[in-house]
Amino acid sequence: MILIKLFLVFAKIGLIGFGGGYSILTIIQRELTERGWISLQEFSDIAAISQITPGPIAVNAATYVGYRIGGFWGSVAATVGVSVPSFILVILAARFILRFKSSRVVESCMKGIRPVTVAFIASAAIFFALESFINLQAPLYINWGPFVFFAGAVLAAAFTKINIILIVLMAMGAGLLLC
Amino acid sequence: MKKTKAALLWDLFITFFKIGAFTIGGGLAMLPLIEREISERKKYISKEEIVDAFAVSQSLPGIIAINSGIYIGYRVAGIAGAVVTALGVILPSFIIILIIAILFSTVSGNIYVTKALTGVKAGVAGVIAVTVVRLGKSVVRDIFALVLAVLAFVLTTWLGIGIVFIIAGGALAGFLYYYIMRMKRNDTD
Repeated sequence: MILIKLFLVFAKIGLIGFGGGYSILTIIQRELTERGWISLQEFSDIAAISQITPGPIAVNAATYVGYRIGGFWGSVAATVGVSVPSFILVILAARFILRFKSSRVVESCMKGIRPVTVAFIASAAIFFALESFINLQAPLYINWGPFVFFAGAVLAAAFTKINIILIVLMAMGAGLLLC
Repeated sequence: MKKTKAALLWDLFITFFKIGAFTIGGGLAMLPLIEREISERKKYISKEEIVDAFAVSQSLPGIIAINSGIYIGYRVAGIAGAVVTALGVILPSFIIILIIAILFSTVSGNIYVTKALTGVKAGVAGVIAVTVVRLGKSVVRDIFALVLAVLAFVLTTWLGIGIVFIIAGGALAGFLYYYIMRMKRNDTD
């Protein structure tokens, strides 16, 4: 039955998808085009829609694909499927960490993990910068328009109380008007 | 005054619903908002614990925003908390995408979509950069942590080493440095 299949395929994607939305998109593409469920053209639509709409990219993609294949219940099956492994794994991990937090071994490991995690988030900033105003082929050439939005967002987030959502929406508006 | 459980769950749900409904650019773009809402404004958990949540979210498979939501929900209000935060993050996307899937059939290659995406990504890069500094201040407290952070940044950005391996390396380094060093120091005291 297609709903059960959708659920299982997306549960598998949720279980093997490391590294967040963008890498999960690649896995979704492989799993679904190989099964002949969607074409590459449809996939690029899904990728574009998922990035331009609010919410986690992989949830967006799961909902969209699920709807295309199985209608409303298809989108429910795919979205629940992709979230179920997270639910189990994260709660197990959280229980472990909260239980052993006072243990010196765990606390010293966490002290090593925290700076590393901040580095990953910094790396995400680089990733978004590469996608918008830095060109790897010509690193000295900066796309100044988006760079100004970037600088504006940094200033607004660091020195004003402007809501983060509003900052991103303003950058989006600026992109529409000026790019 | 302590909040009742129901009020707490409702607040968690609404907070994550808002985060899910308004952040464009995917889960990574949500991290700054989660940090500001959950730690800075509502003080549900400390900055260190926010970083723990992000560490768990990134080292496990799955969607980073959902993972962070589940971790924080569980930490603040147990299993019920995890359920409401997960639902909160998922529901807005689900509703919006369903409407789009019903109404439109194709958007890729649309010039306005590309323009909007360029703007969003530049803005998200800026907001994330600021979050890095804020979290870094509370987490990177000594030279050793700074070295770890720089090393991890280089490994993941330019060498493409898997996040899971780097986190395992960070845990090992933390154990060796903070645990063993402290034992030695206690010995000599």
